[in-house]
Amino acid sequence: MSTAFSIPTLTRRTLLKAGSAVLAGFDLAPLVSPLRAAASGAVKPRGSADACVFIFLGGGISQVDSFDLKEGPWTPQDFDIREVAPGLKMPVALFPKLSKDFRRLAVVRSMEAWESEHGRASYYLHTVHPPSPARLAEIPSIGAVAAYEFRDKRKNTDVLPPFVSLNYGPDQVRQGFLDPRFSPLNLLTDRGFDFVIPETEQARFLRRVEHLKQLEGLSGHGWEQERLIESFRSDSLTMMNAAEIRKVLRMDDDDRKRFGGTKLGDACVLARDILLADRGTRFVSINHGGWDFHTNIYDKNQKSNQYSKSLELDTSLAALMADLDAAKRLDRTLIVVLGEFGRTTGAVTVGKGRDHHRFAMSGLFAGGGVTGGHVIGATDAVGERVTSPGWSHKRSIYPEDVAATIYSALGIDWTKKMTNTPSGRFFQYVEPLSGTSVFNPSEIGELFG
Amino acid sequence: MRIAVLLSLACAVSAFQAKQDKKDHPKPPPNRLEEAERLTREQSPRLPGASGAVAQPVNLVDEYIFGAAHKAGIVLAPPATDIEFLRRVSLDLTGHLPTPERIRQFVADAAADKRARYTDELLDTSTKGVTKKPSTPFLDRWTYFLADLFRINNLQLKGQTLFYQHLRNALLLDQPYDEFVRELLTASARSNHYNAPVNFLIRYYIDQPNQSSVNHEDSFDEFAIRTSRVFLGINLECVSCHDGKGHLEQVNSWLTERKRAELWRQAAFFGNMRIYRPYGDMVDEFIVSDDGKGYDVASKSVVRPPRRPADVTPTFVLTGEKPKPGEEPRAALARMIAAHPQFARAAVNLIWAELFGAGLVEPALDWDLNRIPLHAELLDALARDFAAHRYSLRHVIRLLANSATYQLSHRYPGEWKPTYAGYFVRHLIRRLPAEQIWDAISDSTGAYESLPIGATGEKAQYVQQTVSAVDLPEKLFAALSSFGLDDRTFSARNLGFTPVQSSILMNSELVKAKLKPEGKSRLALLWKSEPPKKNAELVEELFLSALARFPTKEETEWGTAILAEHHERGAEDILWALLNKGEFQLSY
Repeated sequence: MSTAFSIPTLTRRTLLKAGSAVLAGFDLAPLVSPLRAAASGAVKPRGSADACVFIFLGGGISQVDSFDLKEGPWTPQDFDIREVAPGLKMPVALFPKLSKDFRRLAVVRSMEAWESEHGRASYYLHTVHPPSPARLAEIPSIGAVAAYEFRDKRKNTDVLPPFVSLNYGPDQVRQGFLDPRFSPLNLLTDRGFDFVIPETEQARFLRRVEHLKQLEGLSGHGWEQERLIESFRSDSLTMMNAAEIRKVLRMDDDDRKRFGGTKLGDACVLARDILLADRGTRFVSINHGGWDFHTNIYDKNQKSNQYSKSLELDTSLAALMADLDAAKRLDRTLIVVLGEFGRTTGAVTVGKGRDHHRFAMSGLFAGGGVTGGHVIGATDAVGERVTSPGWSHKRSIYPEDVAATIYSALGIDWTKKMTNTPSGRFFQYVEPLSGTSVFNPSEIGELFG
Repeated sequence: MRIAVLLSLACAVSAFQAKQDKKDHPKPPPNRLEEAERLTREQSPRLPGASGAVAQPVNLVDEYIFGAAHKAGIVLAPPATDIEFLRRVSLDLTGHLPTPERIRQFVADAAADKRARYTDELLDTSTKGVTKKPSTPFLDRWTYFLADLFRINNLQLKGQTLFYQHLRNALLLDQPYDEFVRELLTASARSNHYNAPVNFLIRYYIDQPNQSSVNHEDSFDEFAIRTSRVFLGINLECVSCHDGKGHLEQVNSWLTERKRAELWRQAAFFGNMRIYRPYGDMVDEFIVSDDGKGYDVASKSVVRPPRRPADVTPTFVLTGEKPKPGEEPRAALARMIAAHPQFARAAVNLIWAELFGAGLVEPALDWDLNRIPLHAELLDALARDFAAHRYSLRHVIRLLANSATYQLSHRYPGEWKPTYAGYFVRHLIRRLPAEQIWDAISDSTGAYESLPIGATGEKAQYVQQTVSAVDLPEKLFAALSSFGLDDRTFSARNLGFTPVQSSILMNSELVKAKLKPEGKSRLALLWKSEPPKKNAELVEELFLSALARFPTKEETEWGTAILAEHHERGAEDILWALLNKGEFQLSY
């Protein structure tokens, strides 16, 4: 055989150089062995909540135009800035409803992110682990870990999945190496739900499913993948056949209007209904993207701008809290509202926007035992750096601390480790370090008064 | 023993020892190698559905794969049946199921070489005597594959559409892959709307909202990362922010030895590039030239931690080679990449992964060059063969599809261990990608889509004919996202399962609409067939359309009973059940 070039073969020398990491076959089988999980017992989770709603402000909300307001020549005249609680100035024009009634909300201003690129920072926030290529696929999102932790508390009547995500893109939230039972059920609110069988099609649908089951009885191949498909279909059918689900997924038109009539509003209506149905859902993650205003952040002529986005959040969040409160469920439901990082401060950029900035961001907390109406931490005059952490740990608050807070509220030991992961490296719910910085994450106890 | 002697270097030693054993002991106790051979010989053909034969090595792939399996004492699966092969190879090479007519024809064909002839038929894009440019499912499917690899999305629609057409042409003409890649790496143009290859790098250009804040070195870093990833199978992304040491010890041994400055030196090959929009921020038209100032390590990165002073002479990360005096740096890089063995290895491994469901090295775009792959010799043999056949991608696809290894059954004699997966001793079952599932639903039901093809103004029947799935109607995009579509911007392909997928197949308006006997749909045409089809014939037609196999006797009874109850509605119900049956969405 003629060759265009001679290829030096991969030699033994390379083998020796690699030490022990050689000749590894790979394993395509899904994890079947039971998880080995060990709690350290070093922390005392408070267990003040039964469920968590996480609202992700994707793109990164500008802290200085919202919950860590910094006034300057750049501030638009019509922000209508007022002090709505002691030490809490708000742009009332952007958050009219929340400003009127801040007693349920705690604001944390001393937060930082580890990453400043959307994909990486968003991954980090949802998993509280660094986006390491070797472990990307195996690290579960916080919601999936919570779902796993509540597995023994599930009742036969719990027809809803433990982890529901709303309006997320593919792969943004995940169960990683955990059993697919703990994977997020991702629903897109503007698409209609294929879990609702139209009334007129009920009888035919049931007949079709009957036919399918007969067929599978005749010619199953016994493949693992076939079993997985059948098991997911069975989950799907359980939901489709439960009367409550139809009710939950229906979304009342008046409610939708009251919640703002937006994607976020619909997601909040759905989150409320899912939680009030009380059918096994413990974690609802809502994606509210579009905050990435590199340009024209204050321009009301743009379809989307700081005003429109803030008003969406204001209406939906206020309604969600009010309804959960009215149903006496807010005190056992932790609500966390957070973007993946903050934005640059001071005067806007040449593009009249704000860029990514990871050294200061603000988050909101409510319900689940959180004492509302107060502020934790402070930043410098322009909101660029954390100057006062405002909590016992005397350092900025990171995504890991937020995760520890969520886990603690849900009664989960956040230092727990699982040892038999596909990569062979242990998975700790919240790791004591990020990359090479050891910082001993902790729950934000100050939130709970 | 015959097979063993044929075998690869991998088992040459043990084959030699086996010979020695025979010389010394006329009747040696069975060793692992012989035991594996015996079990393959005796057990494989007896599996339910097996074709009764033992897999025989056909080409160089089998010499190495069979050799490695026998050496490790691992039994081979029997050959796949004709009908399994037909479905598998149709999906892998064209992204589509075979038609009922073609299945019947294939089964009736008694010639010994019918599999190879079928593969040739799928690959054929002959231009001899044609009056119209050939357009075949093979071209659709592999253009889509390259578009995925190069991450063509809907940004810069016009340029990316042009690039998509360029990929299609390169496949149609079977352009040598090395030449093709050299063009992508060195292209420059007065306008990317008239020069196709230049759009490859523009896709990775790191834009800023305002051109004055653009840091060109950020783009050069990105070019270095993307080009070494797709053309060499190595991922320098980590070391684009920090040295490998202290970070990647548990990730990639080779990368722990890499420094961030090496990435800069690799990026410096692009350092003379000037990329800008002559008509301002809002117009996606670019000029790309090579009259820039070189890689400036002192410039301020917008997306990465600050750079530090370092030598940034263009230097190839795999060899340390620098451009020759007077050699244009991008041309030098193209020359070095194409000449390096890792270039051909990475390419054949990518094709292998497409056909076998997993690469010989995994992840296929993330090699650890300090590890010797299990099938190192096979990789090198394939790479040499690729080079010897003027870097023809089509040649590699044909070689793999014709191998006995590719044509092994998914059935397995004896106990299957997960560690066997890497030996490829049976065909690995996997879920079809989102686009193929959707196109299979269209083919099965005969209800096709009408989708935009980028900026061409033309329409496509199939998802696999689109420039990028991002251009799909919102609802279809959302449905395919649930099946793990790769949006080529944020997400990666995912072949996992979820309850939402089941609900879409069972109850979405998108699927339900396709089942209706309207227009020229499968059922509408079946009802019009003359003479009318008998119930058993209808059932067979539906099984062939959806599952690409004949129904068993029991399945025929199942179907005819449903038709007897409700003739027309029953047929829809049968088709519904077939689309929802697990095997429909699996490659096996």
